[in-house]
Amino acid sequence: MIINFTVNGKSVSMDVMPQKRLLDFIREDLLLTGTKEGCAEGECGACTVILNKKAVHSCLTMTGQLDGGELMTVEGLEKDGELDVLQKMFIKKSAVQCGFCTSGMLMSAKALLMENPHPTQEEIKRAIAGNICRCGGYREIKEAVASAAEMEKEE
Amino acid sequence: MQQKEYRYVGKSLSNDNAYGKVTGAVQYCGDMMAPGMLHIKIKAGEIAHGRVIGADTSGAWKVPGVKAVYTCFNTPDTLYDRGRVASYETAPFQERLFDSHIRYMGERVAAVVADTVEHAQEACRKIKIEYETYPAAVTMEEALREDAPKIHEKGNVYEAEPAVYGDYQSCSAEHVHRSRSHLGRITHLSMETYAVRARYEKGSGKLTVWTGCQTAFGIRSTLGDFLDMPYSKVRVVKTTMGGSFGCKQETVIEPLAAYAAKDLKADVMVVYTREEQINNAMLKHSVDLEVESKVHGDGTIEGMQIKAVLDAGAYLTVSPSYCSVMGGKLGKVYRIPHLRYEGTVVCTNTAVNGSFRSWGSGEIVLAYENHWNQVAEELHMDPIDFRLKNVHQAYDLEPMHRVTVGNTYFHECLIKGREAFQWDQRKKKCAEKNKNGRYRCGVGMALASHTSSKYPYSSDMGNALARIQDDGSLIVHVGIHDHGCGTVMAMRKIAAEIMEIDLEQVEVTEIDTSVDLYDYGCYASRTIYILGQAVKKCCEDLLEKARQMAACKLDSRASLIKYENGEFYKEDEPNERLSLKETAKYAIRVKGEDLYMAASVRSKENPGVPSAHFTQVKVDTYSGMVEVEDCLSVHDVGKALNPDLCVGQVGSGIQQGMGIALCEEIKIDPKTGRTLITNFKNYEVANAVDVPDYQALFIEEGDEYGPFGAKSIGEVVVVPVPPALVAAVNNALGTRLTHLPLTPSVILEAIERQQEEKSHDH
Amino acid sequence: MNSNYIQPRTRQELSQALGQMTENSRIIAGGTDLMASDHGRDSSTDLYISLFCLGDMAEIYREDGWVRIGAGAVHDAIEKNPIIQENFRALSMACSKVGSQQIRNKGTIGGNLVNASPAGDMLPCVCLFLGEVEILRADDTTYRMPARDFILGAGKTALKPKEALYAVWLPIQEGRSSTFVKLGSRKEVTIAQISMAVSWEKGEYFQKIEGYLGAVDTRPIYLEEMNHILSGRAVGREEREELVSSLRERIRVIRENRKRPPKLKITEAEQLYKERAVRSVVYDAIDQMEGES
Repeated sequence: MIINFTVNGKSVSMDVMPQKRLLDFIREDLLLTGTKEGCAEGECGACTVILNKKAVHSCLTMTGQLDGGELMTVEGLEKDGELDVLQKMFIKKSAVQCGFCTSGMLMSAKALLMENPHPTQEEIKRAIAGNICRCGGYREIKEAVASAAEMEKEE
Repeated sequence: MQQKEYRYVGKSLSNDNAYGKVTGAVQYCGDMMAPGMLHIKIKAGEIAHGRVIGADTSGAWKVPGVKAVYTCFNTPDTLYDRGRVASYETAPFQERLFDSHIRYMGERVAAVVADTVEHAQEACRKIKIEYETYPAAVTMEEALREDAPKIHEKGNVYEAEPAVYGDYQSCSAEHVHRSRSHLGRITHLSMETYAVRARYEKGSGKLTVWTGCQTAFGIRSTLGDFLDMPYSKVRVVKTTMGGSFGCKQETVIEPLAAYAAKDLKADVMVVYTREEQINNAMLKHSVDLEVESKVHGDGTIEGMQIKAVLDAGAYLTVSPSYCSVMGGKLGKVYRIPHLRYEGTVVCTNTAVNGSFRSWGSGEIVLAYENHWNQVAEELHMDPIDFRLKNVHQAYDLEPMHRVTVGNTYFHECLIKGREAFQWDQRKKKCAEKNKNGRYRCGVGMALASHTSSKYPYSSDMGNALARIQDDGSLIVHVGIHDHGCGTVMAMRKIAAEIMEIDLEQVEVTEIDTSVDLYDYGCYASRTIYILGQAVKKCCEDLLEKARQMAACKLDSRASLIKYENGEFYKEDEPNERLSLKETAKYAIRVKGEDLYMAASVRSKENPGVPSAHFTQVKVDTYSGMVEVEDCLSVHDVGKALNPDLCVGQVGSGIQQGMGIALCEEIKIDPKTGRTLITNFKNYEVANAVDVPDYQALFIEEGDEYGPFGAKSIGEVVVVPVPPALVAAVNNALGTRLTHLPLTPSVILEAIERQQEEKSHDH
Repeated sequence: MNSNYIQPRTRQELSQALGQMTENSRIIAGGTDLMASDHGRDSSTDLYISLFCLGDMAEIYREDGWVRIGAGAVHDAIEKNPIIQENFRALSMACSKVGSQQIRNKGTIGGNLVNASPAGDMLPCVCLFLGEVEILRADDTTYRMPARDFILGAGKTALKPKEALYAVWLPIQEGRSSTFVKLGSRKEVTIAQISMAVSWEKGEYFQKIEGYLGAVDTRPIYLEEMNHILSGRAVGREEREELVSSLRERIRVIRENRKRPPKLKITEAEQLYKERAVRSVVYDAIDQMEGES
């Protein structure tokens, strides 16, 4: 099946296996391995990508569902060598440890800020409640998201 | 200790490779791709106990792309042990690549190597295994029976040598108290599951294995012995690791990957699914603990005895060692004249249990901290006051190993925590609030310690090799395995601090057995303390060597050469500077010498890392749900090299501790032995909403040997959290619950019992 | 992975696709349940019909005193839709409590109903609001039936082969309020142990109370006692406890009639949990009702 979509801003037309998991398609066919598999059941959030401006589990999505859509993965956050403010804040606030949850966490946070640029603490927590991080206590991650929102406000 | 202002040490500079991680550019093992790479999938067995008597693999071979189908009938009978971390270690050696004797439900019975994961998976489904079924012993109780089915030839039970100090039986005191605690099985839940790549080069006969492991040399020895290859031909490379918490300490899937690579002379990859990670790696032991103590009326402890029974699951692996090590941890926190520990390990027909963060500290501390909280209550003492009476002073003898506890600050942890958490005020407030109403509040605390090295369980050394490059930058080879917690960053800081050069000029490589000097592995929280010392010494020695070289170039004597900001100069000619780059170029071009240095350090001590946790909970007596409202951890770390990442570690301990105490449990079907939870749908970990905005305090008085005074933090962070939470729940409810996890159902049952008892009394 | 895949863009294309279905064909909406169970790798599936690109199926609008929610509307959209918030607050609340944000962004009301999981959060709400389901046949005609009759049991619905759930219709009832309570094992991202959807007529006291209890039986249970116990009076501790006892008894009977306990409820404490914890649901529901009135 030939599908048309954009990935990280680039238009693509590809002959795909539509029932392949989007996660596998992203990793194996688009060669974007920043998106990770943690549980394959939509419970850990490691595979989160932004599809049509919403955070979704790429492990629970079929590649065919990408047709006509707009996909953003962690690799699409950095623009022209400039990190997204969320990425900068994740580094600055030391919210990165083993890094395996980081891309999913960033995509959940990005989707939140795209929809709600000035979230409350509660809204931040709720937006990343489906993303498990085992290396920390979420404190640094919550701070990073809050600071990113704050920075955007200033700009 | 005099606090010196450092350039990098003690500064919050984020994690090594944070840029690579936020951009998705960092490659983990499972991200590796290569032309012609093959994929392995394993097939899980369908009986809890029995024998494989036949395997029909014809269907599997019909699937396209299949290169090999392995079962117990066509693979070697060689025994190995996943828990062995060094060539010289003894271990139970009970495992085979595929054993005809099946010991738990879901154990691997076959594997397929194919061109794609899908083909391998489909072929696995088409393998038909024929079994002969034996009776199974699923619970420890069943496995301990006289007539229990034998899971292993030598029986199901292993008794550890008792650990003894003083004479517990003969000692006496006014109060004798007994308690029991129980811990359930949990999964480590490293976000990255196991992934191993193995490549065998036909021409050279070399095997390279990539794995996000904790013990590269240990894995090398197991693979070398298993495949009968010289260690020199086996190269193990540690890849970026997506968390471990102990599960990557063992050699679980590397033997299969390496065997397949060698057999097929190919490049193979195996990546575990989450279900496999839970059922085919290892879980944290389920443990029953019995504590008895003798305590004087004023709260002074005279003696303590602990009996522990661990469920090893189907294979002993590390359990005998784990069980013994638990006994060695009895004397790390309190001055107790008489100690006795008895440990038993029982094999059952269930998924394997094994290495877990803190290796027994968590279990032992839970048992005695639950116990001391009860004793303090019996004696009408505040739990902090009770502990202040009994804790070790700096340099006290740690009785089980006859080393000192080092420069430790147990008192300060308690006192600082009490003040910062406003313990006394909170305790009073909770007591007042709890008179009636749906919600009850409680406070709880616990104290713990852990290791900074594996000395004197065995020797502990650290090796490092540092090389100044001809542009003045520095490469440090050190056998570390960063778990993601920032040990590479710490080593870079140590090196840059000593060499007085920019952090960006320092590259620290993680372990690769083909180039690195020996290392035991990054466990026992030894990385910073031992390998940090090695890096520090290595850089200091290297600087001296460079100084000699600079002295030649500057026509002077080394003793007259000063060093500052990466430049040498003569004391009397401070304006004539020689950079490291110029020194290195001079050394190579004129002197014919490479500026490198190798250094080795040996552990002389194993300082303790006092750690106190204080917590406040709110219990909903209608739903049984526990909310952790606030908590504080105080850690005597010696020196926090990466303070930001230390805080992160504390958070991880709190999150995992909340899981152990309140919600995480891998349930096993008591009838069939099946692992009932193999995903996260029914395995609820504390998420971003559940974990409170915790506080962390560090005591940094400096250890005398640790690099810049640093000790350890990686494992101890989790240790005091469960008993503190248990105490807080019990404080809220007026109960003595110690059978973990304290899930809502356990709590509502306790409340109902309490009400029944109350109405009985009236 | 040799199955076919059709992704209709219009209702007509969907009906045609329905005509091609065999017993091994699957309809995929959000995929949040289907993909978790077979990862799209079940080789016995001969055809997947994806509803993801069928815009009409996701729409929510008012029509002739009813609100029509396309079966493909995702939880996040329903939660935030002003028409739903105004008229069917309990449904908006239930949607806000489904899984994680990622699940709410993808999981659909149709998927939730068709899977008919006893713990499904949509079921008690759709029953509460006297909802009807609209079902599409392969000949491109549709028919409606009450949602209560649509759900037959755990995982069982009245959906026949070559049919798809197309929309959910809820009649607008003026002058009523509603609320929803979910007890899971943690605050967010959790599966319901017990859920309760309640509606009532606004006034000095609660009147004409309707209530459903979810996740305790294979289908939502209508609670006729709620109106008897709570309506037309000031609700105090006594009324609350009376309702607690009544629900506790209901759950006890359900438990005792089960052939065996659910596989994850091993200990007695686990088996008795819902009976004990229903008090929290009753109190939360009444607290919320009082807050709303």
